Amino acid sequence: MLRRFYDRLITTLVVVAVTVMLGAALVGTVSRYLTFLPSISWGEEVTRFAGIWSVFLVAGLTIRQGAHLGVDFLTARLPLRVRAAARLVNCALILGFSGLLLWYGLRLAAENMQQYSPALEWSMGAVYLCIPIGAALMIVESLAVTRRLLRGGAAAPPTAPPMVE
Amino acid sequence: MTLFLFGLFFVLLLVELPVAFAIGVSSSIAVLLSERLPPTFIVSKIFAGLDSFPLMAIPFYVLAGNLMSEGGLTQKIVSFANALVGHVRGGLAHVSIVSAAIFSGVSGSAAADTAAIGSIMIPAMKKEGYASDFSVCVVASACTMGPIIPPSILFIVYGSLVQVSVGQLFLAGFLPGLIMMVTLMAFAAVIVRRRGYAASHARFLLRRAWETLVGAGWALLVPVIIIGGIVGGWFTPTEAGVIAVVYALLVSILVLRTVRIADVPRIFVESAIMTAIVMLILGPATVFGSLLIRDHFPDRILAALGALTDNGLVSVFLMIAFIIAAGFVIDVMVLIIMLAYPFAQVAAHYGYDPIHFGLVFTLAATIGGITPPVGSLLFVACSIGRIGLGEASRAIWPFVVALVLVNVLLIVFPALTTIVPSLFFD
Repeated sequence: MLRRFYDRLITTLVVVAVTVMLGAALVGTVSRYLTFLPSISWGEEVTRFAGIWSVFLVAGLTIRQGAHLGVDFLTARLPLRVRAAARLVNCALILGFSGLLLWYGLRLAAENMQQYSPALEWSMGAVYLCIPIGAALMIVESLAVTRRLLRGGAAAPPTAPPMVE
Repeated sequence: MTLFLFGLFFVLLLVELPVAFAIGVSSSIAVLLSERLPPTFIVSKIFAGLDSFPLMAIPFYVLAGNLMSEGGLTQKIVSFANALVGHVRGGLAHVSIVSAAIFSGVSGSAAADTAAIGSIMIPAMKKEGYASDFSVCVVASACTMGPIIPPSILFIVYGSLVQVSVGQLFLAGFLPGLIMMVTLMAFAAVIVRRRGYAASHARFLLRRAWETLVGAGWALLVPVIIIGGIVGGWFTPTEAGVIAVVYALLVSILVLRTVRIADVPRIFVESAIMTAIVMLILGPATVFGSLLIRDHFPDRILAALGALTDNGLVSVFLMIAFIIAAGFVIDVMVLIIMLAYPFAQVAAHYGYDPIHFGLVFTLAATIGGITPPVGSLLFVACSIGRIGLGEASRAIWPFVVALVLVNVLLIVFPALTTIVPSLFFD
């Protein structure tokens, strides 16, 4: 129940962020040519902020799906138990890095609440909040992966092939 | 510092920590250990690295490419390529190469090209009696055209790291992409002759070519819009990406009716994940990169090269050889993100044209995508062809040689890369 709500919430927010990014870039582009429309100065800024937010909003899903690009030519030759142990170490490292992003991301946001973006004059601190939010989502998902590893040994999903290059 | 960063990065990579985190963890530890940098430096650099309008072209080209393949346009491109070159001996191999070239003009991602073209062509070739390893290797090597023929995510990343015009890089890739296509077809022709593969149909029919051209027309308009818009000075590459997305949405939902509105949120999320994979490497890599710059990494490379030679051309050859060699164990995107800026600095020191070097560098890194044991394109193609990477490692060699030859040709003749952009930019 809670899990379904969480999944719904994340996907909805991602779709909203992508739509805003597309919409802002489109309006910014088109308004330069359709001169009867009021010219806008915030198109690029909204595109950038919405784009960065969408990255951190799906950060948790990238971990759940094992979508990150990794290198297995050494670990593929190791015994399964050793490989599972290596995966646990990796989960710990991901948790550590995400924890760092969460903590210092909140600090950065707090320090910059009174800084304002050039076009829209939004609080940069609020914009920076995407990083601690993304870090929290990564922590939740890596904890789930860790739990699966501890229960089922090497049952974690293998590193999927990278899809963008 | 440089040694510590690279050393820790490689150790973490070897224990299969994903690249994004191997970069993030190693550079974070370096920042935490340093006395001069505050820890918030990590977070603010990650944000600053992503906060760029040119980089936002990546989500747009990923989305446009995904909408096009969901809309069934890959099959139409393949049919058109088949009508063009299917009558040649070993027809399907040539069809794969030509389809990949056309699809490269629609999508910005080589791995997405491999998945799209491979899932149609590899089973088709196997059914016609082509060896699995050959089929896999033809498709994987053909998809190296993806990052060279515009639009290209690698050029967007390169352009934003090295501060050169993404639009000029796009135009510069056009001619080299065609040279790659011709060279790969020539090498494939020799192999299919030796193996005795047949043509896929008896002869070329103008009517069939025309009919399939009309079928593929909606897809073929995408590169026309992107390149036309950039050349005409109407759009920046990012803006052209937005237009391509809107076009792909309209065509696939309203005209072809192959994508339903209910599918759109799923495609948005999938594309956002594919984009995030790149961006979550790029963000921490900005921290890594700025630590390298603080440690005067480009000067060190220059000093090391200077000890070997004082000739600019030889230095560029050495750098490119290094990239190709590193490509065996490091993947394309990582090579570009870690080495593009320092290497471009060195090339600029020798007076190299930044666009020319960008092309040569990106092609060298892309070859890393098909060289085993670590090559993402070969990996995707192998999993479609259901063979192991080891089986494909022999059949890939002729194609690696072909692409290295093209790379050498581009280094020696800069005009091949600069002539097209010079027609449109001052």
